[in-house]
Amino acid sequence: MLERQNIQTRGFHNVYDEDGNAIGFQLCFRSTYYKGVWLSQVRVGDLIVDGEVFSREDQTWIINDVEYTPDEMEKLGTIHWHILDVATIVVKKPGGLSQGYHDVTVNFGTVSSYGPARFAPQPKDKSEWDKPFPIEVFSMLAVREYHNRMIIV
Amino acid sequence: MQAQQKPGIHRGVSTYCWYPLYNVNMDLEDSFMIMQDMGAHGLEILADGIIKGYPYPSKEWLNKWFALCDHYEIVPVEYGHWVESKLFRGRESTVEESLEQLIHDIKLASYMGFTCMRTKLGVIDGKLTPTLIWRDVIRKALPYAEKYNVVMQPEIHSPTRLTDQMIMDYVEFIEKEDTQFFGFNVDFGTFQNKPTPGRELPPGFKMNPSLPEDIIPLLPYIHCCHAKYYNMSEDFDETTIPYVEIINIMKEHGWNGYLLSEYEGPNKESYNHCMTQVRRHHVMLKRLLGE
Repeated sequence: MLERQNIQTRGFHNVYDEDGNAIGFQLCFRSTYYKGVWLSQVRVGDLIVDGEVFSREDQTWIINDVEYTPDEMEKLGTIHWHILDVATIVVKKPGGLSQGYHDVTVNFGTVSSYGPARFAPQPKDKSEWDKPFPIEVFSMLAVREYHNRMIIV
Repeated sequence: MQAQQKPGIHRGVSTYCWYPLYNVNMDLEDSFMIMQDMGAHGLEILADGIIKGYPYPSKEWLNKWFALCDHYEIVPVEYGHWVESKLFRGRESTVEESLEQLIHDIKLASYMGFTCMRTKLGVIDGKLTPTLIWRDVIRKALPYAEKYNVVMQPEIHSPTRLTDQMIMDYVEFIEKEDTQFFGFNVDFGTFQNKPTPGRELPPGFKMNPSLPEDIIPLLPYIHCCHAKYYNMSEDFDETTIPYVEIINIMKEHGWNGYLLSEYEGPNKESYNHCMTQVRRHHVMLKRLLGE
């Protein structure tokens, strides 16, 4: 079973190298939208822990047991991320995170082909609706922030 | 069409009703139990949210699918899928890329026993005008739809109205191609003429719904509908959509097909609320259909 919220408490722990040194941490994230996406439609933003910012370059995402950089995902239009599967986000941080509470924010978005981009800038005046949107603006369900306060055991 | 195995109007449910609850409160088998219990046998799935391993489900998963459908008397009616036009940064998908997705879904839908597809095309504006290459894509997919015996249906969804130009364009296309394998799914949200409680419109925005009678000329092209509901009252009335008029028109004109419940009201994350709403909806539908 899944936890309802996007950032799952299960799966939040440090990751170690072969010598047992903490080299970073990981967390499990799911989309709570009603449809899955192709990897090329995933947009990854900053991941923030207790104010420390980890950019998209600091992250890899494991989906269906395969690890990708955000750039690699954007090129893959035939690999699907099922809506009920969690992605494991792995973040480089020498030493890992300390035991106890951490405020975690994930910035994440997906591209939508088929509807008005609810979170993208839209013309206020409905008479503008007939005019095609610029493709990059229209196709973006703008990156949103997801928060959870979680515990490293 | 195959979906209308028996003449008349039949009841069903879309898995969209409960999408926030899947794998949190319930799974696909729970949906089937709920449907069987209400005598609502028609099913719409959202393919990429339900099929484990989509677009290539395992043989094991498919065997389980057939066993569950058989056990709970589920009729696979509509396979909801998307033809993604925004797959890569800065450009629309080509006709070939679109066709590749579409043909794969046609084959999978047919294999899983579905007779209709909710074919969601990419759009280019806020009125939901479909991508300009839609005619080319659909025309080239028609021989596959015919071979695999599934009907492709764009969903006509608010704010689109049944009298809008794009509907005329679809009808013209169907007539010109002389095909039974392309039609519509009318989402009853297009008839919504009262706001959902708690979701009043901002000042200056007016509702502009389709009228129930607007559906009459389109009935021959409709194979199933999204029986949208936003607010089922305690006395089994949908308070925002003129259901009595719509269903009476469909009955009077002898329409055959499935009405698939699709909940789009508030509190979708509450299991109890969703279950109460869907059971009220099916009381209303049974009464209106004379079951």
